[in-house]
Amino acid sequence: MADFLLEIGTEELPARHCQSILRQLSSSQIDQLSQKHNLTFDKLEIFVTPRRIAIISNQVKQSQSKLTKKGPLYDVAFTNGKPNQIAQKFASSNGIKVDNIAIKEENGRKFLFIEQDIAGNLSQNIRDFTKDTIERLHFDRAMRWTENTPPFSRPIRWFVCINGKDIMKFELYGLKSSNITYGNRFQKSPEIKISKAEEYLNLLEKNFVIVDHRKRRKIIEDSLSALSKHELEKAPDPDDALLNEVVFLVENPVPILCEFEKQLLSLPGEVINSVLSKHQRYFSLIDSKKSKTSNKFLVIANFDKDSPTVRKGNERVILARLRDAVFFSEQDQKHSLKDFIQKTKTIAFQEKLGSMFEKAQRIKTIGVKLAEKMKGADVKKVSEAAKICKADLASSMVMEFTSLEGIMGRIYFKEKAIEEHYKPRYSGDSLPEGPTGTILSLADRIDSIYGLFSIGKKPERNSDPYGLRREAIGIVRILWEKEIPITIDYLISAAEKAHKNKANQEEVSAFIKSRLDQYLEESEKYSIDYNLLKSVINNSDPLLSNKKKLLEEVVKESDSGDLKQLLESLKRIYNIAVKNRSHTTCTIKSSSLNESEKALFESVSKLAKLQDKRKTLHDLFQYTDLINKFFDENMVMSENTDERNRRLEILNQAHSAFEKYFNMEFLLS
Amino acid sequence: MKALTFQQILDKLQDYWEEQGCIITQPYGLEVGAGTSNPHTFFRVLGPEPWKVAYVEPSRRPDDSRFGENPYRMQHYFQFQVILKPAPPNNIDLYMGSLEALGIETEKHDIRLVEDNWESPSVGAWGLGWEVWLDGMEVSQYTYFQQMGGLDLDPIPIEITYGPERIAMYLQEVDDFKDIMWNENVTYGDIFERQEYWMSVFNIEKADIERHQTMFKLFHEEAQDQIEEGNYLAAYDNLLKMSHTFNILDARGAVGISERANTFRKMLHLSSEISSKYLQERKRLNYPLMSKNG
Repeated sequence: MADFLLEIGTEELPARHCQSILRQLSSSQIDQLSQKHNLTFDKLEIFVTPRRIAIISNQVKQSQSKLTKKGPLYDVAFTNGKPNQIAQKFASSNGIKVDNIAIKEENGRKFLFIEQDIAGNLSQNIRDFTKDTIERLHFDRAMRWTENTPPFSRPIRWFVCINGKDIMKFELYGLKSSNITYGNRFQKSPEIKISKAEEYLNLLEKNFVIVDHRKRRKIIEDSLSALSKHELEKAPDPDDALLNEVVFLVENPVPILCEFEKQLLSLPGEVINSVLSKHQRYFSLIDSKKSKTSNKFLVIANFDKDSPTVRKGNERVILARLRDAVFFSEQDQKHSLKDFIQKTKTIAFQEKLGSMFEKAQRIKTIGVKLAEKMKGADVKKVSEAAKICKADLASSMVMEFTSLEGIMGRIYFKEKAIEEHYKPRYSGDSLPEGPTGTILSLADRIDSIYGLFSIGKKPERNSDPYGLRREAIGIVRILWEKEIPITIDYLISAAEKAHKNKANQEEVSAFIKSRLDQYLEESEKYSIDYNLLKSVINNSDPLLSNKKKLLEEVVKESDSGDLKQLLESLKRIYNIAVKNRSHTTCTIKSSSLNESEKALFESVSKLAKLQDKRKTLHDLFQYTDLINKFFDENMVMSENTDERNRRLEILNQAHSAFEKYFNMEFLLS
Repeated sequence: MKALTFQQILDKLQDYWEEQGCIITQPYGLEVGAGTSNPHTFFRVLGPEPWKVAYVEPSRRPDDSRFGENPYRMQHYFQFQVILKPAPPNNIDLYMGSLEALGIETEKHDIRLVEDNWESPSVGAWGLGWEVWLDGMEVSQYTYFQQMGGLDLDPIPIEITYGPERIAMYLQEVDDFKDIMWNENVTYGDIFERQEYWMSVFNIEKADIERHQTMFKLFHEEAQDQIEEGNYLAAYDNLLKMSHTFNILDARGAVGISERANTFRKMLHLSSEISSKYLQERKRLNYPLMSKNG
């Protein structure tokens, strides 16, 4: 039974801030804060609506009521039954008067004690807890609204705090806590008096505020599934982004099924979908029978009931928006592809890196270099598609509905690669399918990364205004998942040719590679020993496709003895080769080698000559015996200088050749 | 009840905010893109003096030129602007009251405040707030200003901007701005259709690029000279003229990338100088409006 309530009342919080508050107020964070303020909450729950953050608990207690501190011996601190300097000092250093010192016996000896009522007042603890909670929340953009308040997402307007039936009275930021909360906006935010904490959720629900965001979500989800009886279903909503947002746009979700005139269905489905969901936060629907966009859509209103007035209003808005889209589409029809390309000269990419026109030209230069390396890619097609890949940014439709970038390009200029080159747009998004789209996606991303690094705009720890981390993850995912035989360094050198300013190659390369680590660590596909994973990812093979193949083989063999033995023998090589890095290098003559030296030397030479190609893990297993035999039969640190040097040389070459497969540094401990 | 005409909507808003203690002033009389550029907002939100004002501002956005053909978009339209400084704690309730004054019974509608932030880098200004949705339609912009002229504001003012055309189309149930009844007999289109057509021709097709570039340069020089003189108000007028001239050049597609960034830098520099000169003078005058709150 919820017996404690703290409600922080606000003006409308942005939906993404509501989500962020829930993430930030994790149970460990709350534990830490409550401990700090001497509070213990039993079964604590946090709910967020656009206008309130509610913290509810079965019970709140002060963790400790008294703090006891032992001081000096009575005999030392008292002279003739009166406190002396030592007692005075003990009292003053603890901030109390000497009269308030207690004297108690412990094991037959008398000591001075201080017993402080640290609990103070429960309201005060809660006030400090509230203050600390509010001030720890941080937002991408916070605001000030009056003096003496910390920056917050939106203005804080009231506090409700009730323990059982008692109002916990405190004052914070000039607001006095009370038992009065405020209802839904459409009802003119009426005052609602809460007489006990346990009635809070029900009372507010009666007043059209569903405080529990999970419950609001459920209502919306249910209304979406209920559409099946009208043979309708929700249009694809990646990551449930729209649903998650709408939950925090309303306090009392009421589904209202609306429609627009059928002739507007002549607009492309993507346009309708974008207008509905991105610009109005309505659910765009699919006609299940015809499996295409329906002229019906679902509005989640913040209201008490399905209402003709509200429906009519929303329908008129969509009518206006879609007619606007028709207007823009007609405007666009008046222009040729050439006009659009010309107009991209006035659209900025970045001040020093020029316009979108210039970006498209660079994408072309880079794309052509990539196409030469990639099987199935057509250099001419890549070059043609690159020229037009940013043209739709100049269309009225994209200027008005920005989320349609790429999509309008595909529709207007009949080129799939234009839409594909924006993929993947977010984590978990699909990758470009065709070779042209794939190349353009890589070229566009490396152009942004290289270009911004070249003018000193690399991402900082907490700031990545151009989204370069996302661009880098895109590159890594494409190279890895599609097993593209192009190295990161090749991408960088292609970008270098397209740019006036030079970036630090190693820095760019390290930046992209660091995303590979992150991507693979987050991927659940490769559940093997972490150090083994790192040793493969960080091998010297520049091709991600090769790393991937090896990693997959390693995952399969992770329990096999063959793999263990191979790694053991590689460790032996590593230990000697690295310790003796500075040995005198020498040219090895096959004729002067003994049998086991020769066997290892020759097979290592073959391994080193593979370049882009690779041996399978199975092939590598055959080396275990060669290596072990080499060590069994030869004393590496021989007294004979010639012998020693050539053996170290062989091991050194073996070390380099195997580094392409395993970076042993990660496997030593 | 008959729906309010366009002029009645402006009247009702004006009356309502007058009752709330606002000074009612008039449009500035120079081409501006929004009511924010009117000195009653740009200057008065700076510094410690309280200020409550409401006014209509005819606003021009050359880039929105559509020859009067698009039912929802014009290169010249109106804003109804309210500034409350400091922002009173009940400001949203006050705003809701203004909708009631327009005959919109708020209990019958889904009224929502949806995140929408505002930023104008060329005058060093930003704020956080919302767009107000009435059954899904954006009828107002609502902003807690945080900075102006590159300076942190204290106290924080609230800016409420109504789109009277949107409100009229909603109340009168018409789907084209030209059909809005201005009064009982005359429509918005009767008054402004020709203006939309000819000014669109000018803004998008005919404005002479070279002459506008020259004008821009001249206004810039004038603004700089006036700042040298300490005349921040004359400098500000020239800054507004620069801004409008730039917008026409932009609508003509005659602004390059680095030029745009350069222009914004120039304007930001001027607006910072102008703001601080204004504040210096207010201080010297000992903040005369301090005692005249409401």
